[in-house]
This record gives sequence, C-alpha cells and structure tokens, in this order.
Amino acid sequence: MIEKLNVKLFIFAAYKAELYFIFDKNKLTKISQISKFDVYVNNEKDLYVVISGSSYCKMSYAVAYLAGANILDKQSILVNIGIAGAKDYKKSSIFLINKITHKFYKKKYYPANIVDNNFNVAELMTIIDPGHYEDNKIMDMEAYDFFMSSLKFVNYEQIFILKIISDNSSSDLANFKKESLSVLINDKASEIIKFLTDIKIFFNDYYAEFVLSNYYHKIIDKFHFTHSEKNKLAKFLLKLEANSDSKTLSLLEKLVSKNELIKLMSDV
Amino acid sequence: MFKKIFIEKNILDHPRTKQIIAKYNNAEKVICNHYGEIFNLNNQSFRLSKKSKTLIIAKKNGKKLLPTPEGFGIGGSENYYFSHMLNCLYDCRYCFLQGLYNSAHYILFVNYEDFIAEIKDLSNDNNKRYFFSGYDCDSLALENVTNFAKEFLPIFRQLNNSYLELRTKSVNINLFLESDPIENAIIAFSFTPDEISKLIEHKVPPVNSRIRALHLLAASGWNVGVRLDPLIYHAEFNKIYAELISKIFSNLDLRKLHSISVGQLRFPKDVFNKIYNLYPKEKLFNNLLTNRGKLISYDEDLEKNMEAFIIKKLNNYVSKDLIFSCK
Repeated sequence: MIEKLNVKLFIFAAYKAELYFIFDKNKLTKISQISKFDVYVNNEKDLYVVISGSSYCKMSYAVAYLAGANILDKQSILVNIGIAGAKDYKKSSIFLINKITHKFYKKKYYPANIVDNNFNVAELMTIIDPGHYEDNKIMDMEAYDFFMSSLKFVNYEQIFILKIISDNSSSDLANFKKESLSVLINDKASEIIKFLTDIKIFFNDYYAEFVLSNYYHKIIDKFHFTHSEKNKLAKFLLKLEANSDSKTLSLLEKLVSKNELIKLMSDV
Repeated sequence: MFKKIFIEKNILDHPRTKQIIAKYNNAEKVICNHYGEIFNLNNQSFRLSKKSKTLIIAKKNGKKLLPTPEGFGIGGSENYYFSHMLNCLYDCRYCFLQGLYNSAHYILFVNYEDFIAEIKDLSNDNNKRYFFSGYDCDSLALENVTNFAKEFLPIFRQLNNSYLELRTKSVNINLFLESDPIENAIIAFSFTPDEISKLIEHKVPPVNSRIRALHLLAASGWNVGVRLDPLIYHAEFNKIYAELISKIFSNLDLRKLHSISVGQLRFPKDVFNKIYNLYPKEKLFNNLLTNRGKLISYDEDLEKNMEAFIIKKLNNYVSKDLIFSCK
C-alpha cells in the first residue's frame, strides 16, 4: 500500500542536447544541491530530467544517488533517452529497446515495454568505447548499467530505453558535434512526448489502486503513530473498506484518542 | 492475443515453435537463452506483467512429472502432475500462481515428446495412475495455440491404466466433440457460484457456459469431473452453492461423472503475503481468512461447515465414493 499517489517520471540522458525538446515544453528548475550531475525538476515535482554525462557507469551512479537521496522511489518511472550507433539502422530512426546485452557481461536484460506504443523495437549492446558496431544491434555506452542499477530500486516494468540512431560505421565520430543531437531528436519529439504521457497515465492508474483512503490520512493527522502502528492501521482500514463496514468506518470519525482507536481495532 | 513472444534459442527450430510463431506474425519476437532470464527476474510485478500478454516458448528440462501433494487425488494409487504451461490466461483472484511466480508471462514448454516419454515410462505396469494437468495453468484455455490436448489424448488412448485429468475453466471443447471419447481421460471443470465467479474469476467463461460445456461433454460420452475447489465463503454460501450444485447435476449424465473434488482456500503464508500485496483492497483477502500455523485459510470450523454442507448437497445427486476431499 502507498500513502499517496506520487508517480514521478525520471528522464535520463547523457547530454542536455538530447533533451532540449523536454526543456522547451516544461518549466524545469535545476536542483542546486546536487552537484555531481545535473538534475532538473518541474514545479509539480513529478518530472525530473537527469543529465548524467557520458561514459561508463555515470548514468547508473545517478540512478543510485537519486534513490539514496529518496528523490527516486518505488513509484518512479525511469526512462533513458539518448543517441546510439548502429551498423544497419537508418540515421535518426528511433527504437524502443527490448533486449540489452553488454560487450563484456553475460547477463542479459529484456525491458518489459508494458505501455502500448508504436515504436520499432531493437536489441542494444552497451560498449565501453564508441565506434564499434555489430550486426542488428544498437550500440550505446550506458543502457546496460542504467537498467541494471534501476532494477535495484523500481519494478522491472517501470524502466524504458529509447534510442535514436546518430551514427553508423561510415560516421566521422571525431568531428561529431553534440549540438547536432537536438536536430536529430527534435524530429522525434512529438512521438516521444506522447509515449511519456502514456507512460505517466498508465502508472498513475496502476498505482492509484494502492493508495490508502482518506480515513487513513485523517487518523494519521490526528494521532501520532509509529511505522508498525501505521501498517496495522492501514490493514485494519483495508479490511473495513473491503467489507463495506460503514458502521465501523463512521465510528472512526468520532474517535477522540488513539487508545479508543486501538480498542476498536482489537474489537473488530 | 500475444503482444510479445520470447523464444528460447535452443527451441527455435522445434516444429511446435515454428507453428506458433507462424500463427502470431504480428507479435514482437525476442530470442532468449533461457526462460528464467525473464521469468525469474526479481523486482517484477505479477500484477503488471499480467497486462503484458507475453508468451515464452521454452524447453522443459529435468523431471517433467512430479508426485501430487499429499491428500490430492481422485482414486488412483499413484498421482502425478505435470505442466506443459506455467501461468494462466484467466485471472482468478484466489489463484496461488500469483504468489508463486514473479511473472505472469505464459510459459509454454513445447517439448511434449519428453513429457510423453516420461508418462509412457511410468505407465509400464498395471498400477492405476493419474496424471493431472492444470495445476500450474489451465489445461484447455490456450488449446488453440498449444494443441496440448490434441497431442496428449491419443497417447492416453494407448495407456490402459493411466488416466489423464485435464482441469479447466475453459469452454474450448470442440476438439472433444469432434473426436471419439477416450475412457481414461477426464475433463474436469472448476466452479464457484456465479455470484462469486463474477467478482473474483476475471476473464473466465461464465459459470453457465462452463456447466453447458460439462453437460455437452458428458452427453458426448466423455468422462467429466466437477471441482468445487476452492470453496469461497459468501454471506449466502448455502443458497448460492446449493443453486450451483443443482444446476450442475440436474441435467448431467451421471454415468459419465468420474469424480467430484472439494477443496479449501488455503495459502502458504509467504504466498498469501505476496498476493495480498498485489491486491490489498481485495475483499477476499480482507474477509475471514486467518493465520493457521504455516497456512492462511478460513477458520477450521467455517471450513468444516462449508464442506459438510457441500457434501450433504452432493449426496443428493451422487454416491459418496465419487466425492473426494482435497486436503
């Protein structure tokens, strides 16, 4: 059970230029207390944009940091959006990743991609250095670590990876300009925003099923409870509500002390 | 029907795999090494994955047949269960699979030939043996995809002392109606009263349709079973179960009734806790279930009363030796 509905969408990218379209559409403020990487949040505090920087493990560190700081929690949805290379996919095409491998690790991950969408899907391999391509695979530098780290903190179904193809074996990576990223990605902005909106709606609906009722909040506001007492109270209320016990529920409104409530809980 | 199909690499060329893949052209296909990479992953939600409509085609390794739990049987001296599938198309709130597995993806083990070889190996003497299907899945709900019954029934036609029970809530019975009955096959339907089924047996064919399918099969000469398992408490338990029993048995050709089993709603504690956390607002889990040692179940007296009532009602229609109580 959860005390209140608090589904936060976290969008992770290596470079800010990959997410200009998100900044354009939302008023985001930088969280100044976090200095190791850049985190921006909207006024409602339900959209976070995390710019981790490129290269090995930086994104997974960011995930772990945000979870450790209780900014990211069990209801959070984590989406990595970024560019990637591919030998045989067209530049600027976009893919939702359905299989993640690592050049050096055996374990594989298979994102659930549970929310309906129209993206093409593809397999991705995370590598340490850019410029390496394999047949029928998208190559990037962070998705594997991002997924592995995210899985420690949220449900597997709440992690998504979207990649836009920026280079292939004929690209001149040495002269690659970060600024060109926004042009590539902006083309896909409306598709991505629709998907992010659908994700948010899907998980809001899902988690709404777990939210404790107003009775719980009224009682918690009125009396002091320890963590374990809160759990007992939540279960007690669920029982009353599941059984439509309106008689007992109406008694809750009239309670004047915590002891009365404890007695009621043991009597029912 | 399936949005995504995972296929184990080692079973890619199996004829059944090819058949299924051909049928689901539009589904997303992903090759994996072993189903456990997806199915056994921690930190996934059974409730969320139930929405994903994902099939995993895999090969069952190791032992295919397992002895049934003690107290589970319908008259055989040896009882085994086997699962060509894990998980179910239906979504019954009392189903223990929700608490057993991390994922609701359907796993289909396509190496039927290995199951069949083990069944034949075991059936090499005159002991009466029962083989139960439908413990970890519904035996018939996905018959159109799996051809499971279609492939296993002819095998049992050749095995005189081995009985196959196909336990189901599906009304997918054309296969049976189109073929000659097999004496050692039992198609066993599970029921709760309509008032309960509508609330907690999601996506399951209506009770009346199941009763009709049961009657049709018996009238066509197939042996049938009735499974009142689990018994679910209701404020009007006696009335609605009496009505259900009356509907089931009034027009049933009792000569084809193989057995009736009656079972209780019981969960191992850890399984219950997992299911409760998936559906904390569900009335079933917030009503009368108590902690009884290692199990969560109804109070012993309530269980006894419910079962006694059911047995009494059943005795109006069938002899005692056809009724089995699953402990």
